Amino acid sequence: MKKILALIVAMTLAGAMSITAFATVETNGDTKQTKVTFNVEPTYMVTIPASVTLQKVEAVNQITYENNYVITASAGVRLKKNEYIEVTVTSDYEMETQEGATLAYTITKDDAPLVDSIVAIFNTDKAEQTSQIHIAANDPDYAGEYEDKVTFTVAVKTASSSN
Amino acid sequence: MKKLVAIMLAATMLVAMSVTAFAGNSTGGDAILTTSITPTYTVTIPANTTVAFNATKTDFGKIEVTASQIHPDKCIKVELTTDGELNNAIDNRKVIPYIIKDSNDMPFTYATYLTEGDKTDLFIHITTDDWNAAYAGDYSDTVTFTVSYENKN
Repeated sequence: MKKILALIVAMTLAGAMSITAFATVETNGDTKQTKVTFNVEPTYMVTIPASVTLQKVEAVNQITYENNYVITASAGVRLKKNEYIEVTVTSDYEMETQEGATLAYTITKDDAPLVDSIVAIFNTDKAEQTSQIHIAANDPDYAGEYEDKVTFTVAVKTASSSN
Repeated sequence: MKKLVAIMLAATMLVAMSVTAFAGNSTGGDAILTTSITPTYTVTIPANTTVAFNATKTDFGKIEVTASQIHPDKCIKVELTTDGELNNAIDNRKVIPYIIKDSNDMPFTYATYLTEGDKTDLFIHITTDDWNAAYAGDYSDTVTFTVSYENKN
């Protein structure tokens, strides 16, 4: 009885679970074709830090406020061939206090101005990827708490292929 | 029979399991940039000054802001405190009155400053009559400059 019960349970489980149906092709010896397909979705995770505070940097006869900012693509970025991730920044490049004092700042990458506002490019890679930008401002005329909001946009782009 | 059932179960489970691929979910985000500038300022005040005998107007130097990084809604206030009397070194009851005035000949009590370079020239005024009435001897007095960080107006 136990054996019959076990067999019934096993068959019920097998019937209840969803399984991939394998099409069968009958042949009497002729050549037949079976199409095999599968889909791999693109995957990526880009981390944008929520905030950054510029720190005072004192040099000879000069005071500036600066800091680095790192954008990270987690390990395992997988895109379609010829695709890449592009991160751009939108900003008015000016911090402001509540009293109305303003402070202009720059964003550079590898000691050079940004090109087309691009701050990072990530490709398909099993390893983690990072992109560092540098934010800097001169010593302002007025004291105060300066603040600005910048927007980072992440987009998947397709590189132009050359056959 | 048990082994057969176990094998069937295992094979069924393997075929039924599915793996979910997580598609990219980052479209971007905002970041806040901040920096804090602490207010700083440097004010120079007049040094010790010697008044020549019978001088009715003596240059007393200046109050000057030599460095300033303050809030836009603040000012630097410098206030002068004095009893207005030079006291005789032997008998401090013997005095020579004086007034400290600015370059507009207005008695100076305080002034407010906003930025580097702001200044007030000061002069020590003693009348001829007061000189004539003065006893012989050395006289001196101490004036106090009080610097404070204030709201504008």
